[in-house]
Amino acid sequence: MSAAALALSCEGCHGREGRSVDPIPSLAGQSVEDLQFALRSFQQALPSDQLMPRLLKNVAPATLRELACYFSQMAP
Amino acid sequence: MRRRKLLAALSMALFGQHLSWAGGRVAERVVIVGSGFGGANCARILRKFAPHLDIVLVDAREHFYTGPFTNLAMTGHWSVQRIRFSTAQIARAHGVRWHPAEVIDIDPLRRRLTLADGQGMDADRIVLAPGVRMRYADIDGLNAGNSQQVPHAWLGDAQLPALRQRLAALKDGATVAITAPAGAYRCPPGPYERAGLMAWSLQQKGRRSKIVLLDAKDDFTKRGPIQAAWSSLYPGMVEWVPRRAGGRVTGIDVAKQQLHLADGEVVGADLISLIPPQEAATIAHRADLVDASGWCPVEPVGFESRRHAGIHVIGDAADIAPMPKSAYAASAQGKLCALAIVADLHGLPRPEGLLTNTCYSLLAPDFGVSISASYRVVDKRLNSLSSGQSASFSPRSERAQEARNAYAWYANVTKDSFQ
Repeated sequence: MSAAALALSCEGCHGREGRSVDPIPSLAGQSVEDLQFALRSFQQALPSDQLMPRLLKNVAPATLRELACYFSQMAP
Repeated sequence: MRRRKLLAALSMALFGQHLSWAGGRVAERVVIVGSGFGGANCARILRKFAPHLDIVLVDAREHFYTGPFTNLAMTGHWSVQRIRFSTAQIARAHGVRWHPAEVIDIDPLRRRLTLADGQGMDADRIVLAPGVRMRYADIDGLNAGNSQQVPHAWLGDAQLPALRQRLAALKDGATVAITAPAGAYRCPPGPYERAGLMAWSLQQKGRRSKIVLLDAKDDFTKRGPIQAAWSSLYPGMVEWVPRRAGGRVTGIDVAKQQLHLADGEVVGADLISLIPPQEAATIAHRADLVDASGWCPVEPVGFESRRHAGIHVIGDAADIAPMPKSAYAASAQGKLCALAIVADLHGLPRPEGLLTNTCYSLLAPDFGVSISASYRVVDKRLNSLSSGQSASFSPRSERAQEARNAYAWYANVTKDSFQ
C-alpha cells in the first residue's frame, strides 16, 4: 500500500499535506525520527484518554514507518 | 513545471509508476453529485491526479452547511455563517466545473443524468455523494411540511434558524424533547451532543429547565463520557429514555406539540426536536442504487456500487459499515474513491488506504469527548482494526483539551475539503 494513500486519512485531522492549526500538531517537515518516535510512543502507551493511542492500536509498524517518511518529506 | 514534477512524484508514490495522460483525445468525464465532505474531497483529489479529466460538480445548493458544529450554531455560540461554505468557491478551489442544478434522475446503465434545468449530462463515471433523506412517514402525523415545527435541523440549514430561534426564546423551567432514531443515520452522536449543548444554552438562564431524550435505541456511541458530562455539567437537567424504558416515538401531534410513544404515553414539551429515521437521499433511489436496507451497497476499496458498475457512492448514502456516517468518514471515502477512479483510468490496481474516523462531540463549548477508529479491507470486507472513545471519567483539563482539538479539527477538515 502506498504511503500517499495512507496519508490522505491523516490529513483529515492534521491538515492538507500535514500542515495543521494548533493545537493539533503539524506533521509536515518533522524529522522521520521524531515522527516515528511519536507514533511508536502512542502505540506503546497505556490505555488512556488520548485519541491517537486508540487510533493506532493495531496499525502495523511498517505502515507507521511509511507515514513517518511521507510526512517528513512535506514542506513545513 | 514545478506542478508537473510534483504530480509525477505523487503518482510514483501512489501507484508505483508515472501516470501518462494521452494528449489530444477527448477527456473522460466524471460527474460528482453533491458538494459536501465526500463530493468535495473526491473532486479535489481527482483533479490533483487527473489534470485532463472533465470533472463536473453538480449541486443545486449555493452553499453547503456542515453537519459538524451545527449544534454549536444552534446555541448561538457560533454564527450560522461559520458553518457555511460556498459551492462556487469549492469548485473554484478544486479546479472543477460547478453545474448548479438538481439531479432528478440517473439512468444507471447509460450513466446519463437528467437535471432539473432540463439538461441531460453523460458521464463515464458518476460519484454520488447526496447524503440522506428523512423517513417522515415512519412517524405518524409527521411530514416534510410540518417537520419545521418540530425541527430536526439535520439537513444543512433548512431548519437550523427555526431551532435556534425557538431555543433562544425558551425561559428557565422550559421542557425540551429530543428524539433519536434507530437504525443507521447521519452523525450517530449528534442527538446526544444536542442535548448537552441545549442544556448549556438553557443553563445560562437558570437550572430549572428539563431536556428529555427519547431514544429508539438502547445504547449510543460515546455513552459513558456523554452521560457523565450531562451529570457533572447539568445535574438533573438531561434525562435519557432508552427504547426498553419506552423511549421509542411512534407519532407526533404537531399542533399540540405532543409526542406519542410506543407504550401509549404522550409527552408534551415547549420545544420538540424530532430527528426522524433516515435512508439514502432520493436520487440514490431514483438511480436504482439502494437495497432493502435503504442504503447503497458498495465495495470497500473504491466504493463502487454493487448494483451498477461505473457509479460510486460515498458518504452518508452508502453502506460502508462498520464506518459510521460522519463527515470524517465521508472525506476519507471521497479521497479513496478518487484514487480508485484514477487507477481505473490507467488500468492499475486500486490503492487501498488506511481508512480512519475521528469524531468529536461538544457537551459545552469548552468540553469535548471523542471517538476514533481505523479500518482495513480484509477478505473484501471492511474491518475495524482498532477503535475507542474518551474515558467515562477524566479530569476537566482533558475535556478542555479535547474541545480545543475539536475546533482545530474543524478548521483543518473544512480547509482540506472546501478551500
